[in-house]
Parts: sequence; C-alpha cells; structure tokens
Amino acid sequence: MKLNVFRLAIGFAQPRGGETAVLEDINLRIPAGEFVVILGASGCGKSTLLNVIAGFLKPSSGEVWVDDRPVSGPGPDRGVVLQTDALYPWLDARENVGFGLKLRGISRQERRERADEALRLVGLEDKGDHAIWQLSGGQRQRVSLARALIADPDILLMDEPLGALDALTREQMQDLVLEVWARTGKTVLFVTHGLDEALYLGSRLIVLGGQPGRVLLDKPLSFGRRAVEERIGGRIKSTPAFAAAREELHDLFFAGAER
Amino acid sequence: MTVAVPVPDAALPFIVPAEGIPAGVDDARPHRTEAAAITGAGPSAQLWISLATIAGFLVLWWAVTASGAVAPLFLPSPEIVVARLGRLATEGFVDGTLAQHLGASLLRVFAALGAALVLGIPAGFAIGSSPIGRGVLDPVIEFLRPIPPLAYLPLIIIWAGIGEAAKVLVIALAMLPPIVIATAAGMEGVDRNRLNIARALGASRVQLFRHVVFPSTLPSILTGTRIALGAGWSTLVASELVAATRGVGFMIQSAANFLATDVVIAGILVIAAVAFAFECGVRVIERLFVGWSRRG
Ligand SMILES: Nc1ncnc2c1ncn2[C@@H]1O[C@H](COP(=O)(O)OP(=O)(O)O)[C@@H](O)[C@H]1O
Ligand SMILES: [Mg+2]
Repeated sequence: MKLNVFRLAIGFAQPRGGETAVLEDINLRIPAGEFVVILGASGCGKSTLLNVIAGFLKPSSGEVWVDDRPVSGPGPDRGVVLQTDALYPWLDARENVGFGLKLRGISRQERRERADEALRLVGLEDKGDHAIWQLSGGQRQRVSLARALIADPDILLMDEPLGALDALTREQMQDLVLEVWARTGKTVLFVTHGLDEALYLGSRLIVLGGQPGRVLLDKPLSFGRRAVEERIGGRIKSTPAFAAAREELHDLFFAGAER
Repeated sequence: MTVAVPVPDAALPFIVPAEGIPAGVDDARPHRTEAAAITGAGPSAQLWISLATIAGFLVLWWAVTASGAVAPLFLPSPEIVVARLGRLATEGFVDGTLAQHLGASLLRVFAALGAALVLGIPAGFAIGSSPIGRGVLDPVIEFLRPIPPLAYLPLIIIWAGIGEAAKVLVIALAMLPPIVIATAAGMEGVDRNRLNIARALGASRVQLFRHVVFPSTLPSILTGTRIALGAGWSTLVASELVAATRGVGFMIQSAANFLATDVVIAGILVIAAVAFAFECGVRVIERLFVGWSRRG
C-alpha cells in the first residue's frame, strides 16, 4: 500500500495566542514495502508527523493519503508502536497482543491462536501468560510490536520504538524489526534519533530539520536489505561503506558546529 | 477542579503482604513506606508494632479501670464491656439485639453506597470527559463536599420526612463527593498513548470506554469507594439521631441517655470492627481486580 503526503503543514496553538509552525511543506511518496527511517534532532517534529499519518492529529493544511483514500482518523490499516509500550497492564501478554482482534469481535479461541502465532513471530511464544509487569523493557516492546502486527496493517508506524532500551537489547530488536519487515513486506515508517540505527534499518532515509521542520535529505539506503540477504546482521555496521555513510550523515548534522 | 484525592495508604499495616514481594518479580516496586525504609522496619515488623500498640492501649485501659482511679460510669473496664457485648448479642438493648441494630445500619450504609456508586461513577465520568459535564457537575460537587452532613440533615428531613429514605439520602450525599472526584481524577489520568493505540486498532468510542477508559479508572474508583465508606460510617450515627428505632448509632445514643457507658463503648467498638472489615473487603477486591495498578 502506498503512502502519500502532500504539502503537509502543522502548527500548534500557543497559550498566549498565535501559532507555532512545527512542520512545513512536507511531501512524501512512499511506495509499498519500503522501510522509511525518519531521522532528526529531538523536537524537530518527527512524532508530530507520525501522529498525523496515524490519524491522531489533524494537520493545519495538506493531506495524507493511503492508496486512494485520504486519512481522516486512525485506522487498522496503519499499526502503531510507540516509545513507551502503552500496553494494557490489566491484560496478560497474550490478551494484549489479541486486543485488536477483540475489538473486531473475533472469538476467544481464534484470538488465542493468532496471538500465540504473533508472539512466536517476535520470539515470545513462552510468555503469553505473563503479566505485563513481569516482562522486561525489550519484551514489552516485542509485545507492542506483536499487538500492532496482529491486525495485519499494511503500514507500520513506529515512533522511537527502541529508544528506551539498553544498547544490547536495542541491537537485538533492530534485527527483529528488520526480520519482520523482510518477512512480511510491510511498509514501515520508523522514527529514530540514532544515526547508526537509521543507516542500518532503512531502505530509505528521510532527515527532518529546521524551524519549522522540513525534509532536509531524502535518499535510498541498502544496508538493512543487504544485512538480511547476506545474513550478516549487525556486522554490516563495521564495513567501510557503512562508516563512510555514517560520516557523511554525521557531517550533515554537526559540520556547522565544528567549524 | 483538580482536587487531589487523599489516599490513606499507610494507615493500615495489612496492606503489605506478610509473605513479602513474590519471588521472580524482577521490577516489582518496593512496597515499604519511606519511614519503614529509614527505620529498617520491614512489613512484618510494621504489623507487629501495630499489634503491640493495640495491646498497649488495652493494658492501659485495663490498668486505669482496675486501679479505681476512674469511676465505671465514665470508663467501664474491658471485662464489663466484653460482658456487655455478649449480652447485647443475646438479650439486646432498646428493643433489638446487636444483630438487628447492626443489620439496620448495614442496610442503610449499603443502600447509600449503591446509590452513591450508581450516581457518582457516571457523574465522575461526565466530569472527566466533557467540559459541559464538568461545568454542570463541578459546582454541585464542590458545594456538597465541604458541608458536614449534620448541616443538611434538617433540610433533608423537611424534604424527605423522617423515614429510611432521609437516612439513606444523607449517607449517600456524604459518600457521593469522594466517588465522583476519584472517578473524574482517574479518568483524567488515562494514558493518552493507550487510547491512541486502541484507536489505531480500530476501537469505537464505546469500545474505547469499555476496554481502556473504564479499566484504567477502576483503581481510582475503588480508592474513592474506600474513602466514601469512611464518610458513610461517620454520617450513619448522625442520621440515626432522628426518629430511628434500630441501628448501632441509635443504640449508642439511647445508651448515652441512660448513661450506659459500657453499651456506648461496645457500640463504638462494633462500628470500628465493621468499618475495618469493610476496608479489608475493598482491599481484597482491589487485590483481585486491580492488582496490576500496584505493580506499575
Ligand atoms: N500538543 C502539542 N502542543 C504544542 N506543541 C507541541 C505539541 N506536541 C508537540 N509540540 C511541539 O512540537 C515540536 C515537535 O515535537 P515532536 O514532534 O514531539 O518532536 P520529536 O518527536 O521530533 O522529538 C516540539 O517543539 C514540541 O514542543
Ligand atoms: Mg518524539
């Protein structure tokens, strides 16, 4: 499913009147199956953009289209994973994963089967009966990912989903996300502020920046796909090509400050 | 209105499970109070200290009465009160056994609790969910909240007569504000992200309420209910001042007229014990249904 964003602008009303523009003139054409990484400094409007695409926020102007329909609100065609897991602590892990199916009135038995299947996909097949507070941060994020996947959305919107994890868990989860993408062929929009994470995961990199925020850079990437195809995973981060790309990206952010 | 609902958490020692934090819980929050952490007293130590304090009071009571320093008219000895409790249960006092008096009081408190929950929870949700609800109901609750029930009791008697309805109404009015305020506060605290995730999964407004808002708010509602029960018991005695023929509060007041101090003290102990049992009951319900809220 393709995702199109036309001349999008978003501003927030200020308490004392007036409006601050957060994003301006954002145009994106994202074909199905792409892994788009959105990179930018904190506060540049990454979450705002994702919230508009998810349908949680109305833009000030411009439009978001999924295939041939304009987005007017949230919908099950766009799955969402956030930085804070936002799981439902009164449900166990399996019920959390099956939550979207419950909303559709699917029977308990089928919910259970499909939730277990989704838990297997994220490597938590033995944790279905666990309460949320019994899971580690990484496990919780896997549950959130499974919860988003079970509704079988065409587009996966992820807002710094690995931001709160420790470095090792984060690397593991990067591989999991890549694997899920490669296996399901879903369109992914992945927000991050990590340079390595952005370069490693994306099949396309979009850098946001400026006041108000605009698209500063939009270019294809191939590290993630190669890492999956060649089965080398995170080791691709040690290749000269990766280092060169990292340097280039680093300069884009910090060159001005160093001179 | 952003009134903080007081949560009298450290009030009772049995909040903390004597067996401690279940094993295998990697990120369970510490259940000890800060004071306990400073003094190094663990949960079971806390329980023993509380029991010792109670025992100390009993011994003091017994010593004061046994020494003859205080006339039994003012403070009867523990033995007399216990003996009186036995006779209250069998022979009764002012036309009713203890069970009958207690039954009448319990019925009033329960009827009032039911009414307060049925009215208060929807009112709290209305305040928490819409500016209109807030605009209409907030002044009503804020007006009601600080007025002691005794002050509006005469008015209610003029309106509703001296029957059961007036008594239940007074108790319910005292119970209403804590339930409404706790429900509204709980609803305001519902996590935005949890709502958004449910919306992204296709939840309708009704489903959002049923599957996200209501379960999120339940711990708060139960806290409000606990506070409301406290308010209910204190109002009960006042409501039984007027034209009651049964009730623990009525029994205490009649006893005071006859200077039957042992009955007064026995009645107070019964109310304390029943209120304590209620508190335990609500805590058990909390543990069963919203145990997750204590785990974070
Ligand atoms: N609800 C809101 N009201 C007003 N300002 C907001 C709101 N949400 C975000 N902002 C502002 O918009 C800017 C971008 O925020 P956000 O999209 O969260 O940034 P990022 O996710 O890139 O860190 C920030 O300056 C933030 O203060
Ligand atoms: Mg953000």
